[in-house]
This record gives sequence, C-alpha cells and structure tokens, in this order.
Amino acid sequence: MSNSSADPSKPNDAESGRKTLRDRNVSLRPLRTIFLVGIAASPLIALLLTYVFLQRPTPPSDAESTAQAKPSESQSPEARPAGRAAPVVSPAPRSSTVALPSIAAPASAEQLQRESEAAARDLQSRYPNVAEGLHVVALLHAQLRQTTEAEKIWRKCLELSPRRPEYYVNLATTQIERGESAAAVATLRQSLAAGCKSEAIDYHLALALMKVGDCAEAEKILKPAVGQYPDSADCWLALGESQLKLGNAADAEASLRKAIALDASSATAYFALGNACARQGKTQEATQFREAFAKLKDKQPIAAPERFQVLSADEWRRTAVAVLSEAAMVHASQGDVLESERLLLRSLALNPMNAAACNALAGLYKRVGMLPEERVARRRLLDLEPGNVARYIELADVSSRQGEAELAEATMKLAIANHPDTAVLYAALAQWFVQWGKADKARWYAQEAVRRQPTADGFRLLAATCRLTGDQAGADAATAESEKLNREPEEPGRQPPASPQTPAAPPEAR
Amino acid sequence: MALNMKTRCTVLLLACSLMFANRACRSGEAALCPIRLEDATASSRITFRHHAGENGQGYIVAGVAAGLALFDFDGDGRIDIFFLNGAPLKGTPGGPWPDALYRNNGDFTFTDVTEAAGVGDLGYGLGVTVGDYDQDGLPDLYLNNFGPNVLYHNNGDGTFSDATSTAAVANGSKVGAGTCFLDADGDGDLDLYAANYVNFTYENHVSIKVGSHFLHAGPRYYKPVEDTLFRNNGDGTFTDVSRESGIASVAGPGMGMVCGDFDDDGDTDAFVCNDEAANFLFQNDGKGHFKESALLAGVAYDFYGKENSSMGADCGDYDNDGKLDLFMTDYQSEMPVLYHNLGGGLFEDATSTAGITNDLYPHVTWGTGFADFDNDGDRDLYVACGHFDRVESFDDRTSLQVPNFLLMNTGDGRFTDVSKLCGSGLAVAESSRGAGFDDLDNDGDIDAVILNWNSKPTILRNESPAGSHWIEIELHGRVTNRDGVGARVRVISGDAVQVDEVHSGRSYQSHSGSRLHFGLAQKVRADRIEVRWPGGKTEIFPGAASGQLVRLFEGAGSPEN
Repeated sequence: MSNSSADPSKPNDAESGRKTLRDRNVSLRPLRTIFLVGIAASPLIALLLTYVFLQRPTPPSDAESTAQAKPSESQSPEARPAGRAAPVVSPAPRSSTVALPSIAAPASAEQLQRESEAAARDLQSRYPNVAEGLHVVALLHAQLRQTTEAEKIWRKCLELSPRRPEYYVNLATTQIERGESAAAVATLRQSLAAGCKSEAIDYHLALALMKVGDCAEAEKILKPAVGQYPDSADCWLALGESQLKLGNAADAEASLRKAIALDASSATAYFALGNACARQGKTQEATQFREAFAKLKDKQPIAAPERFQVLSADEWRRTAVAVLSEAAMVHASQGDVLESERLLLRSLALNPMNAAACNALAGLYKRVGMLPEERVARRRLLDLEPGNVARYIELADVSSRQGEAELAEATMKLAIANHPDTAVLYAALAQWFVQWGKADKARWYAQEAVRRQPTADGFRLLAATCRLTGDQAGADAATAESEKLNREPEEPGRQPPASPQTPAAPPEAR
Repeated sequence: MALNMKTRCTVLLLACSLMFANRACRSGEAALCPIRLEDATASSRITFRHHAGENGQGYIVAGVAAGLALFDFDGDGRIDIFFLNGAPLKGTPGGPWPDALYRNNGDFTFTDVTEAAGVGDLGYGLGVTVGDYDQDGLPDLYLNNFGPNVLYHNNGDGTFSDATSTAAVANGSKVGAGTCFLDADGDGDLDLYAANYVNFTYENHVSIKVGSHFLHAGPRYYKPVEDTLFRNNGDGTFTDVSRESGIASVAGPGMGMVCGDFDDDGDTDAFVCNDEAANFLFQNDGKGHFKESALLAGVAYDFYGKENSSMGADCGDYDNDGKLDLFMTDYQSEMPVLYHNLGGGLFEDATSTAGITNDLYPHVTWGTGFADFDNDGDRDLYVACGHFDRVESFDDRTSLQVPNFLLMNTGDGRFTDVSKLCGSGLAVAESSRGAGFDDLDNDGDIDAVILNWNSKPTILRNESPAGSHWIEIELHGRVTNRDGVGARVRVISGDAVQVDEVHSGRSYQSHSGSRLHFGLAQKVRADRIEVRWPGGKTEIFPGAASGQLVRLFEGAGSPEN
C-alpha cells in the first residue's frame, strides 16, 4: 500500500481522506481492509498505515520531482553555452554519520506500544496547536480503540484546520465505529458547509447516510459525485448499493457494472451485482457474479486473530513504524531535525525494509544538505525498490551533488542495464552529460531517449545536445519535431522520425 | 410520510447541541413509549446463577454459553423456565452447577423444581429446545451440550427421564450449539437438528494471552464441525441421517438457529448462524433432503458481502406482508442483520432501511426475538448484548456487561430504539446470552427471560399500559406433530392480517413461544384464523374474541376452499 513510488499525476488520496472509512469499517468493506494491511483484525491499522504512507504533511518527498528525469539541480541544457560544463560543487569528502540496520531490532508488543504512545504524547505536548501532529495522536487513539479521546482530538484538529477533509472523514469514521452514524452524517455535512468539497467527503457522507437508512439522500449525493469523479470505483459502488437498497435493481446493476469495470478486485461489488441481477430475475448472471464474488473471497481469507481488537507484536511493530515515521515528519516540519532523524532511524531499526521511512530520511538529509547520509539512505532505498527507476535517479543525483560524477554515471548505466526500455533514464543521463560537459555522450543518450519515447521535452533535450556538438541542422530538426509534438497530442508507441546525423554507435565506440 | 421519533431526534440534533437535543428528544419520547418492561428478577424468587465454568483460561466453549427454554412442562397453563448451566471446565474448581427448572407459581414467582423434575443435568449446557418427540402430548427437553447431549422425556407427572441412550441422540462429545425439533421428512413426527460448533477439545485449546489476560479464541482457530440431523423413527428412537439428508454436506461453526418455512413451499427449512463464516440456509425438499442455499437466498452474508460472526436468530413477519423475515445477531463491530423476505425464497438485508439502530454496532449481540410487546399488531425486536472478555480494557466502545436493546416496531416497516424509555428492565447491564419471550403471567402481554453469562438471569415483566387487545393460539396436531411445530397461523382481524409459525428452538440457543401471540391493537376479535399444518394442508377456524388463549385441534377446522 505504499505509494513511495507514487504517480504524481494522480491526486494524493490520503490528503483528501479517501478510503479511510471503508478501510476502517469492517461492516462496510472488510475485504478491502484485509487486502490493504494483510491483517484482517485491524481496520484501524489500515487507516493508520494509509495515512502514513499516503500522507505527507511536510516536507514533500523529492522522489516525484527527480522521477521526471530532470536532475534536481541541473539547468536546462539550452541555457548553457556549448562546451561549457556547469561547475560541479565538490564538498570535502567525508563519511556518513549514519549506518542503516539490516536486521530488525527486537521489541515486544508492550514496548512498541509504549514507544508509540510516548511519541504521540511528545507530539501532543510539544505541538498542541499543530493539527498534523494531533492527527497522528488521534490516529493512535483510534488504533487503540480509545475512540472518545480520538474524537476529541480530531475536533481540535478541525478547530485548527477547519478545511482539511481528512479530519472530518476520520472524525466521522470514529463516530460510526461508536455506532453514532447520525453524528457522522452531521460531521460530514459540516465539512461541506466549511467548503471541503471532495470525493472522500461525498463518498463517506453517502455511506453514513446509508447506515442511517437514508438511501435516497445517499443516492442524491452520489449521482453528481460520479459525474465529478467518474473514475471513482468506490463512488460507483456506493451508488449501486444505495440504488439496490432503494429497490432500483436495474439502476443498481448499471452502477455496479461500472464499479467493477473500474476495479475488478472488489468482492463486495460482485456480491451486490449478483443481488441486483437476482432481484431482476437474471438468475444466470446472478450466479455468475456470485461465483466471482466467492472466488475473490477465497483469495482474502480472514485470519483467526481478526476477532481480537488487541494487536499482536507484528501488528504493533507496523503501527509503531507508522507512528514514529509520521511523528518524524511533523518534527521536521517544526524544525526539529535531530528528533526527526532519531525517529526515522528508529523506524528503520524496527523495520529496515520500510521504504517510506527510508525515503523520508533521505528527504530530510537532502533538505539539510547532509549528502553522505542522504547517499546512504538513497542506496538503501534502491536496494529496497530496485524496480523503481526514480531510486536510481535519486542516487545518481546525490552522487552528482557530492561531486562524484563517475559514480552518478555508473548508477545511471546500471539503471539502464536493468531497465533498458525506460526512456526517462536515458534522458536523465543525457542531462547529466550535458551538465558534465560531455556533449557527444549527452547527444547519444538523448537520441536513445526519444527513440524509446518521442516527447516534446525529449526532442528539446536532443536539440540542445545537437547544438552542443555543433550540429545545428540536427538541432533544428529536433526542435521542429518538438514543436510538432507540442501541437498535437502524443501517440503512444509512435516511432521517432529519422534524425539527422544519427550516431552509428555510442560515443564511447568512436 | 410522517417523521418517526428517531427522525425527529435527528432534526433536533441539527438545531441544538448534541446533549441538549438528546435529552429533549428522549424526555418527549418517554411519555409516548407504549412498552414497559420492568425488572422483576428480585421478586421472582429465582436464585439460579449461570456459571461459565472457567477460571480465566479462555476456553472457546465458555464464551458462547448458554441458552434457556420457556415452556409449560407440567401442563398447568403457565409457562415455566429452564436454564442451562455450565460445568467446571478443566482446571476450574467448583461446581457442580446443574441446569435448573423453575415452575411458574402463577404470581410471577417461580419455584426451583430441578431436583424433583430430574432435569439437573451436570453437563456443559450450550443449547436447548423443546418438542414432543414421542407424540404423547407432553413437551420433552433436548440439551445440546459440550460433551454428550441429553434428551429428557417428560413423564407427565412433573418428572422427566433421561432418554438419551434409548433415543440414541447423545451426538458424541461435540461442542453443541443451537438445536431445533422439526418435521424434516413430513412424516408427522418431530426430527431433531443439533447444530455443532467447532472441534475444540482440551488438547487443542488455543490460548490467547494479551497482557495478563487470556481472551477467548475465536472459531477460526479450530475446524468447524458438520451439524447433525436425527430422523425420528417413530418408536422413541432416532437415526443419524446427517449425511443422507445433505445437512453434513457442509461444515460451519454453528451457533443459534431457527427452523421455519422460509421459501413458503409448505415444508420446514433450517437457518443456522455460523460464527465468522457464511450462514447456512438448508432448504427442504419436503422429504427430508436439504440443499444449502444461503448465498442464493441472500442470507449467507450481510448487505456488503461480509460473513458475520452470527450468534442468534429469530424469524417473524415484522412488516405483516405474510412472509417470515429473519433477524440475526452478531459480534462486535458488526450490525445485527434484518433479512427481509422478498418472497420466492429471496431475502434482502433491510437492516439500515428498517432503521435498526447503529447503537448496536459496537456490541456483541446474542439472544433475540420478534415479539409484539405492546400488542399493537406488529412485532418488536429484543436484542441481548454482552461480551465474554473484559473488552472495556482495550475498547472504550463496549464492555463485558452492557444493557440490552428493545427496538419498537413503528408499523411502517421500521424500528425505533426505545431501550432507554421502556422501563427498568432495559437498564440492567449484564453479559446476556439466551433470551426467551412468552406470557409468563397469562395477562396477555409478552414477558421476557434473559440468561446472563456468569450471573443471575433477568426476568422482565411486561407492564405496558393496557388497552390493546390480543389473542394467543395453541395448536394441537393430530395427523401432524402434536405441538404443531412448523404449522403456520394466519390471523385476520378486520383489515389486519398477521402470520406466525410454531417453532421449536430459536433466539440464541434457546426455546420459547410455542403458544403464538398476536397483538390485535384496537380490534376486539380475530375474525378468522387459518392454520396451514406441516405438509401444506390448510384449515379455517372461526374467529374468536380477543383476550383469550384459543386451542386449535388439527381436523376441527374447515378445509380451505
């Protein structure tokens, strides 16, 4: 469930509070809960982990920006005269002051609970008026089924930040967990009155309305919602459910088919669709959808410990990692870098495989200019996520910023060796070669980038490298192609045009 | 449509502060609440105390005990009370703790006649039902235990004999659950269904320790066990037909159950709650062959496709549409489920649309029953609650002991929570399990008896304001079984039509309600009574004045035209 390699083109789900109610509420979407966290017993863990991995109060991860194939501190090649490399800052070499663990530190459930609670208490006492910090505290209370306290703190969050949808959604979720669905409806209506218009609000309001039996009002909320968020499988599913409850089986069938088209992994949607078909006498289709439902259920068995609301040591470890990581982000945002570093390192000690915490640590080091430490963290991130090309670029970037161009180049070549069809890697390396004044190599890699994925940006880069090598005709042709692509929508898989003076071999071979 | 009280509360909530609105709304409702259930335990002279029989070990069987039975064992026209009890489980000192039979003295006091009646079984009691298995006109008792089950044959002189061995219904040494008598094969005598839970033994006990406490392990730590169906041989003996009948074709961790004609085809089907697993609905072909069809019927899961930890169940026609609906209780963080019968063997989850209060969501719910407590012509719902662990130490939403719920039927297919408005009886906080409903003082309204886990029971006397009329009907089969189990009764009173069915075994592993009770509101008589006996033959009986118990004998009515 980590989105450490999140697609920046997609909205940040957690910021809008999306899915939290579904994830937490067993009666609503138990299967999704199990799927998300792997521990069916703890819907609140799902909420907590969803929050931690999807939420980035401050500072944002830099992974997304580097993933755009532009080294974060490089300039556009076009801005620099040919043959003149940008000055490379070479800090005095020094060793990293951190080492990352590879084996999880032992800790009992009780110890982990104490540690999580201490981190939450610290947040609450140091930043009593920082909503992001209180939010973490409230999540831990909810996790511990201390719902009265959780509700109180989320109300405080709303006093401090009355326009954050996730606070309303989590408050409403807690109210539903307490059996106070009518109060949840009021909370979510209050969010609308406060101007919080979002998919999450509409969706959760509709769910709460259905819980109190007001399905007509739920449908009234959801119909425009699916118009506004047509790709929301959750909204389509909830719409179908409200229509089914209202007895409009045909409408429900249409909505549920749409939900399944968007998310075929939802057992609940198949179940509801089977019921909608059965209600219309479509026995054969009902049977077919119920069979699909049963197959999906079989894939998501309920673990025996689910009955217990008390967390196991493993579950507490996950919770502690989440709480400490998130607390670290709050401390960082408040300027306490050392505490932030301590908590992130502790998170990694508890779970050395936690990419989100490692990424946060790397981001923290980058922010404060601790390059050797950042490199250690980036190196670990790459080990954790070798399939994520952004990790190579980030590691190369920090090497470059450390003045170790050869190491950066080696990293990028390794990335290309592992992901030979990924154009962004070629383009990134081309930019570095431009930066390092290696025009021939830059041009060759730029050429390879557009060969794999012809984009306007790619051709602009190619044009720049052509100019650096003195090939004005090539630069003009590449520029023309870039402008052409700017005018027309890109066609996936389109073949790049023949380029003038295409090198017959990589620069090294000449 | 006019706003019901609950809706008016919601409107107020928007206008006022939460606290103020609640107070204002409730004080207004209190004056209007037509149901009064008062706690009459102290004056009932019942001294029974349930013992779960464990000493903190967290045995799975201890958490799920136990049921009770309300029936007239001595034929004096008054409903008596039978309580199941636990037994010392391994490593637990104490005992013995026999089951207990209390004779109804007629003045809302009861006398312990356990020893005289010979029904003080010392086994670990879980489920109980009542039925006249040998057609001698006397109600017999069947106990579904952890360990060998017991069949008590009613001798007709206030005593019972243990007929278990003769009848061959001990059912091994399983962990029992709900149990029902039903005429499965339509041969006119009562067969016996015994639901089984899981394969727990002391040897495979799973110990769940959290902090310094042992919690009760859930059923998924064990293997589910197939249920048992005994065919009545007609000579006082039974034969295990679980395999050939199709009952043992599936295995589930069975809990409470109720039998009835859910698909309206004239025979008796069986609905079995399963704990953390999809429920079973065994549809009868009329000859004693069953097909499990809960998924197709829409009663396997809740609305969202979730298999709940189902506990107890009852059936009744809450919306007076002529079809038996089902209500099922569940574990905490699960809503109890109201399955509305759509006809044609199909049900829909109508929990939210019927306004079942979300206040039930945090609690574990157990015994339940459809009963018209205010005699207004529609069936209300009682829901017993309580945990089996000290849950309050790690969850502030519920606790080991919580008050039970009463949901009043508002007559429009919806229910409103009147628990805090309907007398002292619903203020009692215990960890309740089995619940039975019957007219204990023969005053024409339904009283209630609740078995509380590890505690004394709660006896609720219905002291609702008089004014509404009622009629009670007792069936006597001649060709079909003597108790009329499985017979459906239709009472027509003016433009009001109500149906009910005679069940043996219901609620949470309990039995009650052999006499059918119909509230008639302001109607002073039932104009016509129709009885469809098991097998489908229907007879018409003439109407009767309200305020009486009417005994109807098979063959005495007019055949249906």
